[in-house]
Amino acid sequence: MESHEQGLVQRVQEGDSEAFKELVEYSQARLFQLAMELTGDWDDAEELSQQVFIKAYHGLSHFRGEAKLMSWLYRIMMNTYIDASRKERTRGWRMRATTDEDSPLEPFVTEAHTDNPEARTAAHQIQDHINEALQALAPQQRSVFIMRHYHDLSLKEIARIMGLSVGTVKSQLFRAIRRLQKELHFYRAELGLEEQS
Amino acid sequence: MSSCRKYRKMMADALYQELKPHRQQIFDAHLASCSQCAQEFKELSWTLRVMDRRRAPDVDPAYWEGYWNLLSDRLPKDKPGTIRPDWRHLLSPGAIPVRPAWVSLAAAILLVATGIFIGQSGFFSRLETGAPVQATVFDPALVAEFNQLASSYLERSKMVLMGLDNFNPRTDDPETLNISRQRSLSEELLLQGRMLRNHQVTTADPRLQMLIDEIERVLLQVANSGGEDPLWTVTLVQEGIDNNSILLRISLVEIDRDKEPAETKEPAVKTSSILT
Repeated sequence: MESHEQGLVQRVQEGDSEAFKELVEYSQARLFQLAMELTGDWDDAEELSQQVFIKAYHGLSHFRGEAKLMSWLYRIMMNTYIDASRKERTRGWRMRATTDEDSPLEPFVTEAHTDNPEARTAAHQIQDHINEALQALAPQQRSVFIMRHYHDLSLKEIARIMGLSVGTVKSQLFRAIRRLQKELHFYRAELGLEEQS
Repeated sequence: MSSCRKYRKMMADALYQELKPHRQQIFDAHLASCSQCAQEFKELSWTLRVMDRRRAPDVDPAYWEGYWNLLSDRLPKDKPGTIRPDWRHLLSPGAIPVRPAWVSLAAAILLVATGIFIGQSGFFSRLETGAPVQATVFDPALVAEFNQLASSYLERSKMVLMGLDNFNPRTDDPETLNISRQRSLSEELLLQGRMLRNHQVTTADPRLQMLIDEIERVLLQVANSGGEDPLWTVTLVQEGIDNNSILLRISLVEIDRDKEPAETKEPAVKTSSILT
């Protein structure tokens, strides 16, 4: 575990309330991002991520530091998310109900940092394409891909977080990338792949 | 090519540079000799480059202030990390009201009796079948094999899960938990569960399939628990067992199976005729 994380956890375990606030500030953006990607809804993401922090608040005394703090928090999130999804199977989280106007990743799409309107439009378009491709994945595949690609977790860590075998995670990841490849096929020419196939 | 399938399985690792050096060499050698796999790998790599162009979330900093205010209102007023359910704080004498033994015994008898009643009434079977029942006839040898596999799996899973469920972090010595033993047992049961789930007789029994899935989720928590506090693992496992009433459901399946004559023990839900 990184020394900064270790120090934070130790201070929280010693009962330092201010340290818990620092821990939240340290991890809130990444947790909220994952929650957003899982639930696809701003309110659900807020609720899910807050539930994780409340559970962490109770459970930090159990945390010995062998695992990374973020992996531990992700694991709480996946358990909370899976439990909630199972309980609310009939209603479900709102992630599935996506439309162009109501894209779950919409709050994350920011204006490109350029003054050129064409470049800005193109950059915005790529974000839309990427988000649409992600939404085309099955929830489990999306979770695995997001954790591996954007949160840089190892396959083993993802397996532990999601309660899956490493083999399953690997095959889900492979399927996810192949699906993304199909969803983003129109970039083949831009990537110089068109004439080779 | 059939050998290409083997190399496709290595692609996810290779894309993230997670192959061990000697496997990487074998993989590279295959790509050098197989243009199809080389092309596929190249396209997948480029796909990841496109995905890299996704911008990170950009949440207004003001949002986080409100976020913390909302969260801090929901947190208990005790100090973090040192509050319940930390078992260490509950070891002090008088911290937990002691329940008389007869109350626990009566509760256990009531639970078992309720389970037997529900099982005998066929409540769950009626709920889950819905559609008219059509008898299934399986090869007796297949049924015998299934019975042996199912009995062993359910009995062993019940023993492992009961052991973990009955562990009391407040009073029991963590050393007695022997989590590494629980891990290896869970790994064995995961394999056994997969064999059972893929068995021809099981495939006609959605209730058993669902139960195997639920048991598998809990066992995976144990099997993948290396390196973390065993008490935390136990807490998660106990949550999983309780939330899904797994022990009760195992007992119900066992009761259903015991009710049927030994030579025709078949899944409670009979949906199609496979071997007629």
